[in-house]
Amino acid sequence: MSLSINKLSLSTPKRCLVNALSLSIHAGERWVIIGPNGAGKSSLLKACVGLTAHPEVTFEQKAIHDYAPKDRAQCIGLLSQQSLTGFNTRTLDLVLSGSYALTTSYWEDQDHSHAAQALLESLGLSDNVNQAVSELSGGELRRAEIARLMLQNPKVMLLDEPLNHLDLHQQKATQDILLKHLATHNNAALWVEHDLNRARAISTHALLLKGDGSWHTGKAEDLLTAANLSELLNTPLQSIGEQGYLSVSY
Amino acid sequence: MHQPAKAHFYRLLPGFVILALISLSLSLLIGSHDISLHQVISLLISPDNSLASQIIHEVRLPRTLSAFAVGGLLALAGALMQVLLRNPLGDPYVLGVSGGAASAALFGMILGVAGWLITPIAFIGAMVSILVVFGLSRFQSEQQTLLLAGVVMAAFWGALISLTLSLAPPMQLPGMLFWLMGDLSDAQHPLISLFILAAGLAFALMLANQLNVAIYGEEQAHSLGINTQQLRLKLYILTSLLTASAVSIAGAIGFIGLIIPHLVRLLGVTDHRNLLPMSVLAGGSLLVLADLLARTLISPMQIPVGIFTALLGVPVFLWLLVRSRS
Repeated sequence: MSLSINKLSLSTPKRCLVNALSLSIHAGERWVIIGPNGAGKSSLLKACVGLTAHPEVTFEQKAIHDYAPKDRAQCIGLLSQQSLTGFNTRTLDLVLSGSYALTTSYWEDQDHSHAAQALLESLGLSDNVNQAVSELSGGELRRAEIARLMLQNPKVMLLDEPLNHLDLHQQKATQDILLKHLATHNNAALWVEHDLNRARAISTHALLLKGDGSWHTGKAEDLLTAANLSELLNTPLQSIGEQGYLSVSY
Repeated sequence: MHQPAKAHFYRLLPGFVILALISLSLSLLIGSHDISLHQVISLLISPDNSLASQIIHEVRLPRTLSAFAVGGLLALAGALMQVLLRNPLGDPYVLGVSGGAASAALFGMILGVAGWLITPIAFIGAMVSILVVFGLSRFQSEQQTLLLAGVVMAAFWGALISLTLSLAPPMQLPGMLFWLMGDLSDAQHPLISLFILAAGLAFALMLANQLNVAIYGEEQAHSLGINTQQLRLKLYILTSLLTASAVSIAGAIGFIGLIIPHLVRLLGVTDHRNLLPMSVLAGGSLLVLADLLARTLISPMQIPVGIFTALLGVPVFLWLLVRSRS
C-alpha cells in the first residue's frame, strides 16, 4: 500500500508554495507536516484527497482523481481544519456519515451504528450521542469528526491539525486513540501539526514545507532537530533535557 | 437510545399521511355548495350527472389535487435548495425563481402571446432565473454570495414586474395578478402535476443518502466519497424543474419551500430520507388548507392563495432569521 506524490507543485496566484514535491507514504507510516502559516500544508492535503485535480498524486499507481468516489474514500480520507455542521443533525448522524462509502444499503447499517456509538464512547462523547452538533463545544465537535474519520477508516488518513480546540487532557487521550487506531489497522497518516514536541512524539517521517517552494522529507529523527526547525520556522529553538524537548529561546 | 432513521420513518410518517388525508378531505367537503361527507365518498366512487358530482369532479377534486401537488413540489424544491446552498434560507420564492417565471409570463402576456404558451414561457423564465443564480456558483461557490445573488435577482424581477404592470392595458391586469400572488383556480391537469411530484420525490430520495453527507460541506462530502460536482448538478436540475413546474401550475406562491422543511426539522427530522417525503406531505397539506381558506373565507370571492402563504411565511421567515443569528 502506498500513496505517492510525484513532482507535485502547488502555487498561489502570487507565489510558488511547493515545487516538484515527491514522496511515498507506506502502510503504517506516520508523516508529520511542519511549516509556517500559508506554506501550503492544507493545500497539499486537499491535493492528496483529490479536491483539486492533480494526476501527480497516486494511490497504488492510480491517480487519486481517477478513483470512483466511494473507492477513493476507502483509500484516503481528510479531517479538514475547519468544522462545518449542517442543519442541526445529531452527533451520531455526523459520525455515521463516515460510513457512506462503506455501504450500499438505503437505511443505515446496524453494525455501523454500533461502531459509531462505540467510537463516540471511546472519545469521551457517550453523553453527546443524541445531542445536536450545533450544541457541541469546539473540542467536542472536533472529536466527533475524528470519530467519523475512524469509522470511515481510510488506508491513508489526512489530518489537518486534528487536536485543535481540544483541552490538554483530551489532546493526549485523543492522540493515543488515533495512534492506536492507526497501528491496529496499519493505516498511514499525513498529519499537519504545529506542536513540535507532539510532532516528534507521533511521527515516523517528516515533511518540512518552507512556503517558498523548497521542502525536505526524511525520517523524523533526522529531520526534526532544533537546528532544522529553527531555520524552517524562523524562530530560535533550543533542546532541553534528556528527552530533547524543543522550546523557544526567549 | 439512538433512534435509527428507519424507525423514525415508520414512527412519524403515518402522522404526516393522516395530516394529508384530513386536509384533502376537508378541501373536498367544504365549499359554497353543501355536500355531505357521505355524498362526497359515494360520488368519488361512482360519479353521476348531478350538480354535486360535477362540483366534486370538475372543481374541487382537480383544485385540491393541484394544490397538494404544488405545495409538495415547492416544499421539496425548498428542502433541496437548502442543501444545495447549505443555507436554511434557500427557497424558490426568496431566490427569485418564482419572480423569473412571473416576469416571463407577464412579458409574454403584454406581447400578446397566445394563452397556452404562457405556461411554457413561465417555465423558461424560472429556468433562466435559477440558472443565473446557480451559474454564479461556477465562479463563486461561497454560499452566502449565492443567497445574496438570489435575493437581488428577486428584487430585479420585482422591478421588471412593476414596469410590466404599469405598461399593461387595464384589461389584462386581473390575469396578470395571478402570476404575482399565486392562484389555484385555473389549475388543470392535476394528475400530471402529481406525477411530476412523485417522479421528483423518487429521484430526490435516490439522492437522500448523499444529501445527508453533503450538509457537512463540499470538502468533507468529497472526502467521505461523494462526487460533489455531479451531486450539485443533479440538485440544480432537479430543483429547477420542480420549481418551474410549480410556478407554471399555480403562479408565484411564496414561503412554502422555506417554512415547511424547517417545521419538519423542528420535529427532530434531520435525515433526508425522512425529511424529503415528510416535507412533501406537509407542504401539500398546508397549501391545500391555505387554498381552502382562500376560496371560502369571503366566498363567493376568492383570495389568491399566495397572500395566505405570505402572511404566514413572512413572520416565520423573520423568526428563522433571528434564530439563526442567535
